[in-house]
Amino acid sequence: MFITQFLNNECIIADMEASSKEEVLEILARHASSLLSKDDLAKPQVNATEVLNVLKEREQLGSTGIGGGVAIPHGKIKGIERLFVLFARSLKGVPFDALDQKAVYAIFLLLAPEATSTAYLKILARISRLLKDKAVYNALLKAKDAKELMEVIKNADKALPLSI
Amino acid sequence: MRILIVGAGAVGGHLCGQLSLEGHDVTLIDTDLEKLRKIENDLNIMTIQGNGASAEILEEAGIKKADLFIAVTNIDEVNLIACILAKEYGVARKVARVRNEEYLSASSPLNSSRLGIDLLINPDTAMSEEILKICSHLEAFEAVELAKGDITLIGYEIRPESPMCGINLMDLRDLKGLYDFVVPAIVRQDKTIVPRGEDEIRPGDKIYFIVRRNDIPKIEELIGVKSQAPKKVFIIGGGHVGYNVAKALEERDCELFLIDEDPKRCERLVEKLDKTIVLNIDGLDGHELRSEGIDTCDVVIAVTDEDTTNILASLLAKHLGAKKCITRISRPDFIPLLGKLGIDVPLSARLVAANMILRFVRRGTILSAATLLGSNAEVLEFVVSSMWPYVERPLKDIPFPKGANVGAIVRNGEAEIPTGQTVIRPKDKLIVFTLKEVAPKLERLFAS
Repeated sequence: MFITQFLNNECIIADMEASSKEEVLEILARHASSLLSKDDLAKPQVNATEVLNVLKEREQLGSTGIGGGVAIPHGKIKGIERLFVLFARSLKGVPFDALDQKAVYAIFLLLAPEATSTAYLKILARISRLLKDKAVYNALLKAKDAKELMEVIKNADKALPLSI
Repeated sequence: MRILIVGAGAVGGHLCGQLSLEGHDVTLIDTDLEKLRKIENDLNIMTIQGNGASAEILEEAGIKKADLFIAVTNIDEVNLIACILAKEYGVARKVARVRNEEYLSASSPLNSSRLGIDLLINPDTAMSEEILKICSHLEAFEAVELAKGDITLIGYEIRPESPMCGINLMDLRDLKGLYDFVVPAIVRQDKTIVPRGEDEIRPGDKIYFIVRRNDIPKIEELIGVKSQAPKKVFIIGGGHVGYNVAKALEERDCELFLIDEDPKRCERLVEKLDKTIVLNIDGLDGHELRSEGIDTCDVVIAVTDEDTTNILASLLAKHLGAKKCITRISRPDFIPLLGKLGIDVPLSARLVAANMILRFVRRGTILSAATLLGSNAEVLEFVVSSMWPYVERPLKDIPFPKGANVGAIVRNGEAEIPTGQTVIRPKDKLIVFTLKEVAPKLERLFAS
């Protein structure tokens, strides 16, 4: 299973303007809920507040800012029908209460249906592995726009061995 | 090590098996020749028939050369006198099993320090503590605190609907940062497996995790369970264990029911307990239990003196709708069978006591050890000496024997979940998970 199966150009925010963790989560939740309703991926429709609450609840257990400029907020959402992935980049970096206390630049959001499957953890593990690759991370920071970001992710995703 | 054990009951027998397996020189003393013959047939140990509280018998058993003395007969006084004799013979470490609470309190004129005994162990107290620990992590089948409580070894059974099914260990390693833990062992169909990268988790597996205590909610989120403090608890059996558990649970915010058949005992319990509702009914009376609301309780703790009552009461309560049961069993042989029947946590008071003694026995390079209840594995804590040849080397370069792996490292009081790249420093405390048969090899590795 590839990450890019769940990703299209609309799922990429190349230059996110946010100055706090709270703001990052809000932007991601809003973007996710509007794409989910547009593509009719959730029944009934999921509003941004619901998504935001799930993400915040997960952050309370421990930050998903895993260090090295990377964060992977994630959670299970009632009503959505398949895995949903968003990528957001902050060019200036945002404080995210990360493990290494450093700012975060590359952010993947992963949402899963409430009755989750193996796929959820497989994709979560895959995203985590992809972002821990320094070359990929640097390429993500250097990419010009959403289209280039998509290319970087696609190539890196293809290069990772499939574990299913 | 030369070890003398007095008492060939369930605790003594279990300790003999364990300690002789690890290559110690074990001598067992008991008055009952038949019991001795039975153990002798299974194990390679020396036995002596006689009274363990007799100097003559102890001398015959070689007490002058013993390093460790364990008295675990059914009679408190025999155990205490045997230990006092052992002290006179200069045995370095002494352990006695004692039931009478009078000998156990610090204010008693005869307590462990005055008697010169290193560890007095009360099976009922040990049992109560174990039950309370399980009550704090209701979704887990076992929880052991390590490194003074910073690290917990916790086991969960994986249900078919868990997202963990079909995940392999390599995938889990990629989650580091988001979820930090080590899976030291999987119990699959009563066999303990030390998993490798490509091993997949299957439904029904019992999985052990070594995690920082604060990260337990994260692990539960990952595997798709949520432990809540029990809100409603039924205790069946108002003996020592039932009373101790009720008393301790009164401190936590929950609705408590204690059931006993004996009206006089119930009267005494009512006087001693504040918040617990004491009910004088039969623990096997489904109709009564249901009308008291057992169908909506979070956990049933069956601790009467009868195994059959405990088993049946637990199964009945589960049938009526209770979420989980903890069941006291005096015959450890039944334990593997009970899981299949639907008993969630069978606990043998004797195994719990024996495990506590084993934990104490293994000191020296090993700080402490916990033997896992339903498995042939244990967890040891080692402190790395600056002379150890593998200091300043990454974990992956250290020749750990097959069947052992490092679950956590405590450095400057901070617990860390390691990877193969983690470099070992002097004074690090390593928490190592090991199959029992590998434990002696591990000890040699750390002594090198």
